[in-house]
Amino acid sequence: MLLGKALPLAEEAPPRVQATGYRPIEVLLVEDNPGDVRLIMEALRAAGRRLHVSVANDGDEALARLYRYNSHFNAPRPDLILLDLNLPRRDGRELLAELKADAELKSIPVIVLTSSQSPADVRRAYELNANCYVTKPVGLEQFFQVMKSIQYFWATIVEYPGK
Amino acid sequence: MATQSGPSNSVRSLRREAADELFKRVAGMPRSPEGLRNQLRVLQAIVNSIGEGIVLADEHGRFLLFNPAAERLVGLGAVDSDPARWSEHYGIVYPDEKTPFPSEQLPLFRAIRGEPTDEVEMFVRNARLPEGVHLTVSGRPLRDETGAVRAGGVILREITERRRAEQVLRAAHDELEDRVRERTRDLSRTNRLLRREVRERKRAEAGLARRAEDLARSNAELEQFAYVASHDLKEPLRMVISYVQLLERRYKGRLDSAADDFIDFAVDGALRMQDLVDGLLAYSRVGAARRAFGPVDCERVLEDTLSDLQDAIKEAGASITHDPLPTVPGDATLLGDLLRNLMVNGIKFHGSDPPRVHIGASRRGRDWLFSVTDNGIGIERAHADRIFAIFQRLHSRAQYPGTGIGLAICKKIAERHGGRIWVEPQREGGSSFRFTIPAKEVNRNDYVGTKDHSTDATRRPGPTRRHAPREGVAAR
Ligand SMILES: Nc1ncnc2c1ncn2[C@@H]1O[C@H](COP(=O)(O)OP(=O)(O)OP(=O)(O)O)[C@@H](O)[C@H]1O
Ligand SMILES: [Mg+2]
Repeated sequence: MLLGKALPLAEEAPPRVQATGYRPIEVLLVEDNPGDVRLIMEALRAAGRRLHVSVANDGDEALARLYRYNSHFNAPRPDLILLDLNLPRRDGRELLAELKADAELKSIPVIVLTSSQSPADVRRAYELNANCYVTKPVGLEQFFQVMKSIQYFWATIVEYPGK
Repeated sequence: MATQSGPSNSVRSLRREAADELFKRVAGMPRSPEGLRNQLRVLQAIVNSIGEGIVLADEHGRFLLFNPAAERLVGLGAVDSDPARWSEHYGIVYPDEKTPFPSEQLPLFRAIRGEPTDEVEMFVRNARLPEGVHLTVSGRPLRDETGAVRAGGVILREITERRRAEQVLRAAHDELEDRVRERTRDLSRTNRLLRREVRERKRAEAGLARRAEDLARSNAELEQFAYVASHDLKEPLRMVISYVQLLERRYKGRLDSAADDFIDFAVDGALRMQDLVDGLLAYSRVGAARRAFGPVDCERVLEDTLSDLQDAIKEAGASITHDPLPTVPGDATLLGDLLRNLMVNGIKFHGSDPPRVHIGASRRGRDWLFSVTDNGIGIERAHADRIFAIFQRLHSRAQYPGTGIGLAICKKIAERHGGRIWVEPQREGGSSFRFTIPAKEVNRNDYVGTKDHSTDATRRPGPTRRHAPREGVAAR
């Protein structure tokens, strides 16, 4: 599947106006596990959604989308990327390396969001210029809490380039 | 006259010249009776007094002269006998003292046949000479004017001493050689035995090493398996837990009461499974941790552990006391986990009294003996071994929460340090867990890890748990 799907949840109110004031924060979620995708969406919704999320199911798909933004296709360029490390085919590390080597794309903040707590993975991610590294916690409460924090920080506190 | 080596060539030729001269003179004796007699007398005197034996015989082998020296040398005088039986008669054999000397080869025999001989060696032994003598004999034919052989003469010299010396020397030499050969044989036999032993020992050692390796490998593989299994279990488990909890969160109380029960059981099972997976992971990580040992200040380790446990301690109203603790060679993280698991148990398994836990340490020979003693519910002696096996518990989770991994981890850590662990039920109630840590590091080569999982550590998170934070390996 080449097109990432935006997942606006039907029962949900439209994204609130952001700290930037103009439009919702565009997020590209790169995640292969539908269970995790849904869980993330649920968590964001529970926190009061302030992010507009599109999903790519693997690295190739993510790159295809990003390069399309890159060539000024009408889809908006993501403000933020949420990246799982363990993806089929081109995995998260490769994708990260490629993004950070691209002059246009490297300014997009990348949050690595993964179940791996391996110090080696953490180190590697930062070496590849990940902007932050977050572990998916076990347990619903904890997971929701983490997503809420991410949303709060990245949607209300952080300033983005080019806005 | 006995020399150890034979006469030099020049001496030999001088002697030969003297013999020639003598025979020439005798042969050329004047024929006049008077002169002959005179000359014979002179000659007789010379011949009789000379030290070397002289024997003359005519062409038929009849003895013409057998001087006293010759008589003394061969033991017997001139007894007419068949020249063909001289050897037999006089007891003449080769210098080997046994092979019969053929009479026709004797220098005198050959001399009367016209053949000169020089220094032929022989051995004479007969009734008169039971010891026998070694002689060297030179012979010359004696010819008349026409050149026909008229007689033969020999000069005998004794060389017994030289021979004996030679024999002694040879015997000594032979014996030496024998001894050397024997010794060599002994040595090579010893050598062979040694080599075989070395071979066998090497084979045995190789076998042992292989077995140890196999064991270490299968241990490591097992640990690796446990690690990977529990690590990979975590991912789907996280899904199960999350969605069961989401179900609980969103629909609890909205369905019927049976549905609520089902959800409760599912949540409980999922959380329990998570505890088990975390425990298994922690357990397998003990074997996988390959950090080098260093001096570990147990006093500081205890301090850290106490601060980790301060909430649990406060909650249980526990009082913790301890002896001064030593510095031991080991892995600080692992030793911390060991202490923490024992202390948590000591706090957790309390009776009606508030828990009291004492950590003791004393030197026992090469080891430090640590103890963690509590005033809790105690352990029946019958279960004293079982509780160190993985997943073995003595209580239901309803009574006391836990997975039964803590003590298995403790055992592994103690053994990893070359020590032992056991429990001693206290007569006054409570239990005392004891473990030893060698004061000097023991050889740890028997731990052949395949991969250092410690770099791939997965923390055992506490928050999902319903009971006290796990006292597991990486709880901090
Ligand atoms: N101090 C103690 N007093 C009485 N019983 C104990 C004590 N320590 C351990 N036990 C018994 O031994 C069992 C095994 O202990 P262990 O620490 O391995 O497991 P646990 O504490 O039940 O679970 P976990 O440590 O994995 O959370 C316990 O369930 C308990 O029955
Ligand atoms: Mg325990």
